[in-house]
Amino acid sequence: MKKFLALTLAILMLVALLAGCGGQQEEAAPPAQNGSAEPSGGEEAGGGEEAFTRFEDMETVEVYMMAWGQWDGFEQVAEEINKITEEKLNVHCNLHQIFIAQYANEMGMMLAAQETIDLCMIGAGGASSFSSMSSQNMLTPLNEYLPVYAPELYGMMQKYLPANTVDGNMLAVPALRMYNTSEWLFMRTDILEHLGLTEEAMAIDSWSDFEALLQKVYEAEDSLPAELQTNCILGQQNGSGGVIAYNGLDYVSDDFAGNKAYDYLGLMYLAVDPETNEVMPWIISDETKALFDRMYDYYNAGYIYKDAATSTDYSDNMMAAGMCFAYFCNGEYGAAENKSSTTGRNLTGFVAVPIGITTSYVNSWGWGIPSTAESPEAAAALLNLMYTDPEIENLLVWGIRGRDYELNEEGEAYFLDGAQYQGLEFFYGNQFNAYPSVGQGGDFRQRQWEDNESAPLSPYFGLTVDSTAITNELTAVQAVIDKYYPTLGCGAVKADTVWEQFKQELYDAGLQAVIDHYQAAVDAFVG
Amino acid sequence: MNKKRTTDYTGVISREDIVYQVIVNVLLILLSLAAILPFLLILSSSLTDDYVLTRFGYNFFPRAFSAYAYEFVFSRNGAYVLHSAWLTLLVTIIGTSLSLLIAPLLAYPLSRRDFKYARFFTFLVFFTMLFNGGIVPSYIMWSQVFHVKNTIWALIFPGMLFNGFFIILYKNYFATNIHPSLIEAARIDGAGEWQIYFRIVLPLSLPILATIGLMVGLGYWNNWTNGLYYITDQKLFTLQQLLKNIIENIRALADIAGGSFPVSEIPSNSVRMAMAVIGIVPIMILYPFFQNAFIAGIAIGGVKE
Repeated sequence: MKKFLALTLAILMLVALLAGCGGQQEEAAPPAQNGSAEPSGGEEAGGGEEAFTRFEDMETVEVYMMAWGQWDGFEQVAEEINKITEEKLNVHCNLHQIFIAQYANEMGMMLAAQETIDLCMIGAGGASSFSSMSSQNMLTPLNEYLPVYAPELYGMMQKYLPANTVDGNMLAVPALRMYNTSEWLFMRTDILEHLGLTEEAMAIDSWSDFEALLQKVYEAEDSLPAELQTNCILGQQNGSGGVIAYNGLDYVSDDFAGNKAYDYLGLMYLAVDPETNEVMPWIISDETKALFDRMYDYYNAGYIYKDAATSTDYSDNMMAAGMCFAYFCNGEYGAAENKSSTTGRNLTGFVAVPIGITTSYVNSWGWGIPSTAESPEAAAALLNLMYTDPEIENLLVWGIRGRDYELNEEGEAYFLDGAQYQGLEFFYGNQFNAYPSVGQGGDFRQRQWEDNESAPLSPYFGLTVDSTAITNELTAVQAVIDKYYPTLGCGAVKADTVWEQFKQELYDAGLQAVIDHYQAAVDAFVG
Repeated sequence: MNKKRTTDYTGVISREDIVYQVIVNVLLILLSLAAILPFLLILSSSLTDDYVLTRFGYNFFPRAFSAYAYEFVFSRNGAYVLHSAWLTLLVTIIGTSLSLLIAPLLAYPLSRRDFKYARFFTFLVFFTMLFNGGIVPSYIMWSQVFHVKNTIWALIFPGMLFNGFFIILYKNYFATNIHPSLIEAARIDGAGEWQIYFRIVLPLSLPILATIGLMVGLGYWNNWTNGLYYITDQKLFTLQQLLKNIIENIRALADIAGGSFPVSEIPSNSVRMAMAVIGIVPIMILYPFFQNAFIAGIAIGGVKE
């Protein structure tokens, strides 16, 4: 009996082991290796023949996208979208919304279970991030689908497609949105006006000017009327304790014009020197230490929120609650107006450091055709329509006109009370096709576009690093940073007291292995 | 704790007793406060103006009273919150009832000394406590074999209906408290196995049924993982999943969208507290009704034949 039980146990364990090893997909071969993709019932395309316009037979596409809220009205939005897609392409799309909080988890499960997904949003981190999906071969290469079934999109996105291209395979299309970001400084206009410091604030172009202003506001704090008093002069930037972003940013120059931004390849604690192509551990660089020292001085001077190291409040929340006079924040073109609108406070803002366009920012949101797609051609054609048809974009962003939003005379849109659906402008295909919001101006999208087009591309644009081989090191290094950064970033701790220990723990966690891995990728990229 | 009472025959309590009572009561009061005070803080915070809460921190008495947090949850998501609450209640009732029906049916034969294969099946049950297929195989099984995805059964069956631990608890209770002579007597009187089970065994097992029933019910009420894996249809979100999603959705967007998202849409501290209250209060209301049976169930282990 005992032998029988032992044998049964052994067999069961072996079966469990094999079950756990299963689920590997066959590597999706790029279409080029299989010959040209044949349109399923559509017209022939390419090679001087008539371009694809519409499928002969109705195609059905399963589309999965993120939702940020519960919207009863989305069904009608989907119906309106299908009216357009069925007329123009003979494609019916089943639009599935999944809450953003569970999107990554759900997509990972569905792809592992080989469920049919023809088109899906990429983003929100985790299993649905581009790096994760591309490294696990979950995306169909689009090299031959885009030129044939999405020619307008292909032409429009030529400049940005490298952000989602790995080893020559275009694996996704980035959402066309504002890519040019900067580190901004925002200050409360009402406090500046009350203290007569508006002109001085607008003239700030150096750390010295900024510190002089902070000093004046700090000294005048007690004399301010109750509605203008704050808990602190300088609020934290995010819920991690940092007052100002450090990732790839060099603030050593007193003159703001001398501030520099390096590409950090999507990893906050690294940066690449474009002159030498050297990957630097930026978090423990002299420049970052100087930044932490500056924050320490501010903290001791009483400028910074005393609970910044432990508070999980976001800068916008703090500003809206009247907790701080100023804060640093990453923003895009029109950020000052945007922040004033989101926080409910009139803010004066200017760019402290222009960052430019990086791969990691561009490919953080987009669309991909998973390897489980049954209608990749139809999915590509649908994608083309999403990026080129303003009607579809506005249905996704604003909903149904008259029910969810209305337009004013300037062509700006605003949500109505009781709107049954609300989207987000940066979520979908082409942000520049969406109506601007009230206050941005009717020509806002045109100005945004010009700002985007004029921004410099990182010299490493197109480099996506597959970090699967160093997952353990990445986790360990991040844990060390999470331990030290909250207190260093807000200046609660003097950097000198923990610096050597911080560096040692980082290298013990495997920082050098991370640097070497990224360096090899950079060297291969620059050839 | 076996403390020898030193009460004399006149009923006068000794000094040692008084000291003992004072110490025990103080300790229990402190422990009770440690359990109650955080909830009072949450309740107070949920009724405090959010800006005041953010600026001045938490307080047992709201510095500036505001019901905005509840307005936000119920007006913005009101219909969904109530719908989810009813759905969660329904799932809890159905799931607990099924569990109380099925699990003892497996455990009872295992407790019978005259069941030839009891050890083998007990081993199988015990084995499942140590090993399982993992999340992905489970997902594939439930979604593609049993097709429960986006159905109410996805909230009831996967991983929740019963587990090996409860089966073992039932088994041990039956073995300890249902004497074979009772079953023998019933058999002599002409009762069949089903009659013995439903008319003798189950009525004598009310404490364990109540105890495990409460644990299973609480498990269903608090569960959100089944919803996370198997439910994407918002109409089938349980209360915990809905509340979790509301908070995490907006927090994810605040992380991702940065300045592109209106702060007023972000469930602030007071709204998070309100959601915690909404999740806890129904259980707090129901618990007193099950308390006696729960305590009796905990004492089961000390009862010997």
